[in-house]
Amino acid sequence: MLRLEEVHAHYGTIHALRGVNLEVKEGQIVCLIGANGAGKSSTLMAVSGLLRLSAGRIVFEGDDLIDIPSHSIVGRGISQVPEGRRIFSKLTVLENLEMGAYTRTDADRIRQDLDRVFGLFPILKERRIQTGGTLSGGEQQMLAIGRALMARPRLLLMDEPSLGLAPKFVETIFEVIREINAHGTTILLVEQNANMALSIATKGYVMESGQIVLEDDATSLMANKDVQKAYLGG
Amino acid sequence: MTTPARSVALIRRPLSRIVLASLWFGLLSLPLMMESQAPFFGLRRPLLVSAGVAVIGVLRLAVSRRAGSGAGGVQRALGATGRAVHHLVGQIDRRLLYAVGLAAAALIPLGLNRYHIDILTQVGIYVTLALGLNIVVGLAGLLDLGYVAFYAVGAYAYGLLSTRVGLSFWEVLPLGALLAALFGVLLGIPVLRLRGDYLAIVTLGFGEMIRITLNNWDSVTRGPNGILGIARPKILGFTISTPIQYYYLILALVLLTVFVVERLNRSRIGRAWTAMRDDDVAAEAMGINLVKTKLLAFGLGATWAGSAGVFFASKMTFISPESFTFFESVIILCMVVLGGMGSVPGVILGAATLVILPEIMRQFALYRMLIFGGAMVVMMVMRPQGLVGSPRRKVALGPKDRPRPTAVS
Repeated sequence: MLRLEEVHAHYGTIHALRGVNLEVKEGQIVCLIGANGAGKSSTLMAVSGLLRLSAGRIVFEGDDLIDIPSHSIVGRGISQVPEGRRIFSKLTVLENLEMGAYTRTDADRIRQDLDRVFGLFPILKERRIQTGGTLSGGEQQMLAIGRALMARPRLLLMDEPSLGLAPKFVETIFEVIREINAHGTTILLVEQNANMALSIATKGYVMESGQIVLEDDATSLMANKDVQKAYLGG
Repeated sequence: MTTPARSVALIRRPLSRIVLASLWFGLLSLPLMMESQAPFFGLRRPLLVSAGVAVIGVLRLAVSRRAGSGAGGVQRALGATGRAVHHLVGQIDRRLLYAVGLAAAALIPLGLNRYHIDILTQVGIYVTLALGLNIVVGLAGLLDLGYVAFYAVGAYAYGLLSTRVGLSFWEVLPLGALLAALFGVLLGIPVLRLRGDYLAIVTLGFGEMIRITLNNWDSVTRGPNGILGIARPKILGFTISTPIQYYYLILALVLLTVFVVERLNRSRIGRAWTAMRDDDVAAEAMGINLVKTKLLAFGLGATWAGSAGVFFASKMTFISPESFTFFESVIILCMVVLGGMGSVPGVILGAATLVILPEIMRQFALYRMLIFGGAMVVMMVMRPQGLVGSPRRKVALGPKDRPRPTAVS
């Protein structure tokens, strides 16, 4: 479904991605783990078109994404739950969700998706006329996920959805990720919480200094001694 | 438990701040007093100003100590008033509010003299301008300090096309608006990548460029002499000439502006502007074309300045670059900020306040700008979200759920 081939990207003179190769197959949850600054978020940004490549290819469902402006990528079926949530604090919860469906015109199905998001996160329905900035961190994360789902993505990119959340919320979030995937959305997940992430993932990639250093089935990665030592606290 | 040493430290800082503030205000009023022909010529008044500031400071300190929370009584009073206004505006159906406002606006001039009606017409012009700038600054969050340039474009479009080509007011009104929109987009293109301070500086430069061009391009604009004898508007052969007729004309323009701006505010594009202002990266990730959205904001904002300019030229029948200085841009920006960025009723209130207040304060002549500046400072410290605040914030301002400081930025 999604394939990154020898992807390089720079922030000014900093070489953030140094030849990333990665594949996500339809229906999978693929998780990308690694230390801070390894290039996990940059990889997601590159897929969304928010970070321009200096070399390499990103292919989604057979089409090259390189020359597609970032605002058109969401229309292709890829949406993102950005790091730090980045919800629109001055818009209401409902408006935030509607922004997620910005490029869509199928009003009936948008309505359905809205109900689905409210089904996943009942608290959002309760808070729908509140502005995004007044939500708690966990609620904001739910809103960010709901907003991304409103684009009706076939591929959902999630950047650190559990970051800074209370343990109870973290479990809820991972539960929801599994549920979203079960409904047919493919997921590329970036996480610091490698234990949790690998436990729900089908496949995992380990990143270090802008490169993929290891890839394997999630269960094998969890059993891998080096991975356990470096990322799983074992 | 506060030890004596700590409570001394606690009180020393605000006290030194009060002393500094009183010195500063005294210093500020010095040049003003030197010019004054008043009997207390000289140093006495600056000293009085200093003393006054000190007294106010101490009083505020005392009130806030009693309140304990550190929030000043004035601030809470202002906040409460704001919330009350807000509550009122929020509770009343928008349409009812506008209907009452319109009825009042239509009937008020009947009991007033020419001078007062002229001021109201002035209010109308500034409401149109401020609502236009509100699109750029309030909704899209692009700080534009050269907005007056588009006002000038509209005014000169009518001035030139009326005197040189002989086009009528009604022909130039859409044309001037369109031309201003075009200039808005032209300004928008080079500043697409800029934001915040940088954007402000470039737009400021653009505003000055237009004014200086008008001032120096003698062969076309007749430079500082301006353009004389601009035709008055005609409706079905009837010429609009008295203040009250102009008032109703600008009222019609204001109505159109309010209608369109309210629609824009609630539309997809309005939400895209707000989203872009909140977080442009996230907005782009949602599929918003930032280039198009920004240019639309500049263009649609400038449109209203252009039409206000056409009206202004037709009302004065004379225009010169003097009317389009940087100060005008600042005043219009103040109206938007004072009223509440993003809120249409707020911006209308802000424009009315900033036109009418200086007129009322005419008797204080020299002190006018000092009071004006002081009021703005107080306002921004006490109630940064403006008189009415953004319409979307009303849900956050419910009695149970007061916004945390972080939510008000």
